[in-house]
Amino acid sequence: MLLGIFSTVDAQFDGVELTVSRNNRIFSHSAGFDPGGNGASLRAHAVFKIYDLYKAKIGAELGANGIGNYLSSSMGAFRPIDLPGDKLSLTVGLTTQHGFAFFYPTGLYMMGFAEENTVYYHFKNGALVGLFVELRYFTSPGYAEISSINSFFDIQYGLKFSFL
Amino acid sequence: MIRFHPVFFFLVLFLSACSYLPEDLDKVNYDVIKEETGDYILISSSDILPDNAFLFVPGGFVDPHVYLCWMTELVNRYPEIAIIQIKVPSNLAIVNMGKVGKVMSHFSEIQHWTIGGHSLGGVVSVFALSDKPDSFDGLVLMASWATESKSLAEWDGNVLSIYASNDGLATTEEIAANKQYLPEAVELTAADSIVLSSNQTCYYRINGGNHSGFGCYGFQEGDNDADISREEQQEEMISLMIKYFDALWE
Repeated sequence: MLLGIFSTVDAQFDGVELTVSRNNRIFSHSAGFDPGGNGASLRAHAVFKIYDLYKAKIGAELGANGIGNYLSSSMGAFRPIDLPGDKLSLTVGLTTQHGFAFFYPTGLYMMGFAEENTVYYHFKNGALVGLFVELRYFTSPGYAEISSINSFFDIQYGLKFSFL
Repeated sequence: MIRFHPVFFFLVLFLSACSYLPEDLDKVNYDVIKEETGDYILISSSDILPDNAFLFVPGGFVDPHVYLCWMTELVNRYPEIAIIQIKVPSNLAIVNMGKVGKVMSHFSEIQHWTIGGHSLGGVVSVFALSDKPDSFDGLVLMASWATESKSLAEWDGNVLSIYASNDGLATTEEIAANKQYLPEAVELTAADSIVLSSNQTCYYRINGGNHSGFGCYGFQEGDNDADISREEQQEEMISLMIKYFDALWE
């Protein structure tokens, strides 16, 4: 869907966004409420302006969680909202990811959907530093043959750095 | 221009590592797997937990389910213990050291603990034990050893060290070189010969076994070929651990 948006709208490159996050599992289908540390991830996205009020991003995530390490593509759309004053802004958006968990002898497909919220601080040179929190649903259907904990909700939080 | 710190490259390298998937899951007796959460797998023959538990730390970059093949059989034959295997993000326990204490605190009904692990999981077990030596009655090392920085030479407990003659990753030479950091060594020739006294380490060599044979996950890179089957190696492990737990908690 997002690729469709990119292909049909006049998307203008808006910068690069780097993210470092900590993951915390909160709920899994088989174990129920199951809070606990669930790894970390690094993301890099290219951000594009689409329409007047929205931005989109496309990139990759390298991370670790209870299933293992993974690499996924990551795409999302979000809306920046200015906060009072000229230093802060809020973005609210949705992202989806598809990739593979790293396993021998073969990787396992994984996917995720997330709703993310970021508060950015604007520096004079145009760079942004943000604190974000997101709720993500993560699943690896193939891992169901190995473990009952193959899908879960987790909360991710961390830092974002955006550069023009 | 963006400059990346060396830690960033280490992190990328670490996050890019693959884990070994389990094999032979059809041999696992799922009736004794009582609970699995994001933090642990509980294996017990009964819904009411016994007083004794074996807390197991899996090897590095190995999916924890690779050990279920022998764990479920061990619990089947020796229902006096529960096995609680910890699970960690990335399948690398050494960067999740706090998980051992967290899982233990979840099972307050367990009276007696033995900790152990395979390969790097054994090292994590040694770290956990050296931090809280009074919390554990025993230590089971599989293709692993203690190091000078976390020496257990003076620990007043009993250690079972199982290693394999064909292990290409934890060689017999390395096991021998690090004996000084565990309690006094006693070489076992058969599982039946275990007689425990405090502050000793019982070493047992599985002739023909290899590093990969301690779990069910195929052939690990850097290992040597085994001269015995995985089932034969794990049968020796199970027999040995039953005798060890029996002697430890008799």
